[in-house]
Amino acid sequence: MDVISEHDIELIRRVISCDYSAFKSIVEKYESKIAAVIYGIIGPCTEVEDIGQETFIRLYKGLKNFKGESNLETYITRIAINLSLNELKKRKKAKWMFLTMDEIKHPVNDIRDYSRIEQDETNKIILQMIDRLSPKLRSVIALRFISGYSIKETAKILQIAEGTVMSRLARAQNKLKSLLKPFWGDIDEKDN
Amino acid sequence: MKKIIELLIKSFDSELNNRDKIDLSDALEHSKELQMEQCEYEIIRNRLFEIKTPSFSPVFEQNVIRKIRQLNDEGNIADQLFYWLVYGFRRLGLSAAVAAVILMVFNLGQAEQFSIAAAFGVSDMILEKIVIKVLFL
Repeated sequence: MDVISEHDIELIRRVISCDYSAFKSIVEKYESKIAAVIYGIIGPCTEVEDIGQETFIRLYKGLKNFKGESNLETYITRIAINLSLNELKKRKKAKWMFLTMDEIKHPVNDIRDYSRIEQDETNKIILQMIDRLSPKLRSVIALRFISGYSIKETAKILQIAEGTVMSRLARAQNKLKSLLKPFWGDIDEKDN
Repeated sequence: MKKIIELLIKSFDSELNNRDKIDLSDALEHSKELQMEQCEYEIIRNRLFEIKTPSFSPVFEQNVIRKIRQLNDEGNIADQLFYWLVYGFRRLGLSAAVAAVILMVFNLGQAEQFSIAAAFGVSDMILEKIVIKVLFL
């Protein structure tokens, strides 16, 4: 994942010379990975698609200045992560602006569209719990588990040390374990 | 216990060194509680790996390409406008500048003194005179 492939270099060269079909190939190649990253961070909601589009538009704008220091996948994933984290910030702001005093005292969970894709009940519960993690912890969970990147790849994408990824993962798993305690009967039934 | 839990979680994602491996396997052998913990973490991790992620809608690529085309078209219009402003106005601006210089030279020629006010043809008109001139126009 470290080195940019010859194929990607060729695609970038063509995109810069205004070949839309080359950019379409890039979108086709990376869209599923990007969907997983965004979905993992912001959860199931309609904004996933919008952020996905914005990710590729930013990529297009940035390709002229892309120096190939990282490979294309890392570069796109970073854009997707930044946009997803911005979305979380926006939500947080909006939530505080429009919450009533009663809701602040007795917070309710965000109502996300968990039925948008077919998930079993357990996964829906897990997604709701991921939603309660801090953005930093969510990012590592999204990259490591939902998108399936290795520790090394996760560290490279987030531009942090592998040790930091490991400690964030440990914190995230600990937190998830305690959040999932009330639902433990539902969660482990499939595995037992 | 905390250190052992840390080792346990670490063991899922990376290779432990020999000493840590021995410590962890010893602890696991003697603690039912730790075995339970290990089992719970494994279940959570399996569940996390199993989460299905959606794909974008079938028209996703088309939408992206359409937006990029729009972006390029807008960029072209902006470029054309900029080109027109810079190059279209250049002749007009140059002519106006030449006319202004001629006028300034003429004004200086007519004036009795050499000053900026004279170059611009500004006379020391007081407000009263302006009002009278406007009223009697």
